[in-house]
Amino acid sequence: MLALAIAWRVFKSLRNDRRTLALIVVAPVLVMLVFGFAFAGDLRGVRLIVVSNDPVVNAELLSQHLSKDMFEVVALQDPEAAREEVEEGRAWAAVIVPQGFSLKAREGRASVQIYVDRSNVLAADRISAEIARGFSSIARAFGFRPPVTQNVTYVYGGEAGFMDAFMPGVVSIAIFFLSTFLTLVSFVLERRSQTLYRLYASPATELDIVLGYSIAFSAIAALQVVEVFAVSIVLFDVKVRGNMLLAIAAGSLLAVSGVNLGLLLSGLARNEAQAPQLMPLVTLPSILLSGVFWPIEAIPELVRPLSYVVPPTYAIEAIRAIVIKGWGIAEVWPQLGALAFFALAFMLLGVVALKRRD
Amino acid sequence: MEAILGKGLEKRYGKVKALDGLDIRVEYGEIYGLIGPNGSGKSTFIKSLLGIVRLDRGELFALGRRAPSKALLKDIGYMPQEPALYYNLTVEENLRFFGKLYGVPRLEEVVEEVIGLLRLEEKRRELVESLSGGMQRRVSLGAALIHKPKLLLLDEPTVGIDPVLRAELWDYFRRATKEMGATILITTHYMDEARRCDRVGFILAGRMLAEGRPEELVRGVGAEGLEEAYVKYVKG
Repeated sequence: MLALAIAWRVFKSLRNDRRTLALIVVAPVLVMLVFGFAFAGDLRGVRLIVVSNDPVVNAELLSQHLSKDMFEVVALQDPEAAREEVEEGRAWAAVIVPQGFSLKAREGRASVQIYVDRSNVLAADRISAEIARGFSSIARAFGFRPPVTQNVTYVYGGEAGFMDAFMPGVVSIAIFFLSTFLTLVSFVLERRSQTLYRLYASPATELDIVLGYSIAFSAIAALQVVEVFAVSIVLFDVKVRGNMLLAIAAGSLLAVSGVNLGLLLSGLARNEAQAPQLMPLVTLPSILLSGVFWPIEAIPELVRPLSYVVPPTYAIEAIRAIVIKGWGIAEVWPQLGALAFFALAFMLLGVVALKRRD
Repeated sequence: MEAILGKGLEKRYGKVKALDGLDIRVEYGEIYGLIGPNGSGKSTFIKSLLGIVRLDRGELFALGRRAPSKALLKDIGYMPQEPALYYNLTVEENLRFFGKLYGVPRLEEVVEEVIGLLRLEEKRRELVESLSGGMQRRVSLGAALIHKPKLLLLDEPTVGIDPVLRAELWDYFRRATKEMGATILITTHYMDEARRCDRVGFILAGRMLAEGRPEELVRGVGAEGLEEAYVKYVKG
């Protein structure tokens, strides 16, 4: 049986390839964790505004009938202020319970006004469903006659479909992945073919190298953003409400972080074959932590702080806000600032990594 | 004044001593051959001159200045062991890129000059990946020459090349010293190449065994040829 000899050889080689061995053991666990956390987790700590002029159905009662894990209920007085909270992105939804609600409810004529930020379609629909469940629970407890009409106003993303919500995440992950991976591969090649030695031996500084790669790949990222937008708009009917240039800028800034992450990782890979093995280190946490599908409120609290150190988180937030909410620089500057900060920090790390010599 | 002067150079990689008190002296305008087996410290020495490797101890000067230093690099040309070129660029594009890194003035003229010197005219617009190994080395030499360095460091430039091509490459090394007035330090483990050098240094385990003109070294130990001389120096 020559096949056995070949199989035996594979195992023997693995013994001396610790990296692959580690990947074989760790990858299934990692993949399960990622998909478990990214998809199975329910929303947590979602800020919900309740304005109630009814003596019975008030914020306190509502919070008792809603999922305590999911909502952090905040009571306000002014319906306009409540709507503003949602418009400005400080709350995912607001419920306005009008005067005389509980009286009308006994006759089956009650209605509530709900404002929902639907920029993340999946999350918003989950939130709406939970609010509806809360009202039916109240109705049962108080013997209200159905129906309790819910007038839902989507503050953002009323017409948004799955693709509208999905696209910002996809474009961000694609850019981050590609800029990291392409840099990783071309840098491993620079090392292996010794052109990196030539760069080191030339008057070019480490900063020149880092900047050169960053400029090239942020331009490539800009092109990719345009491509993804074009496909989304033409084929999937996605509507871009905000400024495309701003979204492109967010993508380009994200690419700079990716480039320098690739540069950092290239120090860990000894050849091109090992480079792909490092990629789960980049892609899995990005998908897990950055809120591609669910908002980061759905990420278990224990690991949520890590979401804030993953650059795609900010790109997804920024691009989603630009595309669906039509927000401009005045609103998304914190995300762009965070992306710029990461780009700079990763560039510095890139320079440090290149300066490290034997 | 020497083109390269190193005293008591030491470099360790973990437990391995790559350089163990190496002394070296290379004079201006000569072709100096650093001769030794694989792992004797030849590449480490060249890389330390360029700052690619950091020395643990010792004093090193090149072209009258302390080495390594970024300012020195524009006067040094380096040809690594591998061709070290961008395979998906053409010959010209590679030369132009490295020329730009060094801020070569009138770059187009210089590229022409180097293409002429290394007889690359017919291949100039071909991708480096499509060239033969020998031709790639020539382009690699061109990339090391493009800024007309005063000092040229060639790290095993002829390893794995057949004797005919090696002779041809040596012809180009000679032309580079003559036409550009460069000093050349070349590392090799081929004894027939040592004979072509003005002076050689025998290196083993990171230490200099002997330095001098090839014929002096042969005579010094009463050997028939360089190969025998090397063995005698090794045996002490």
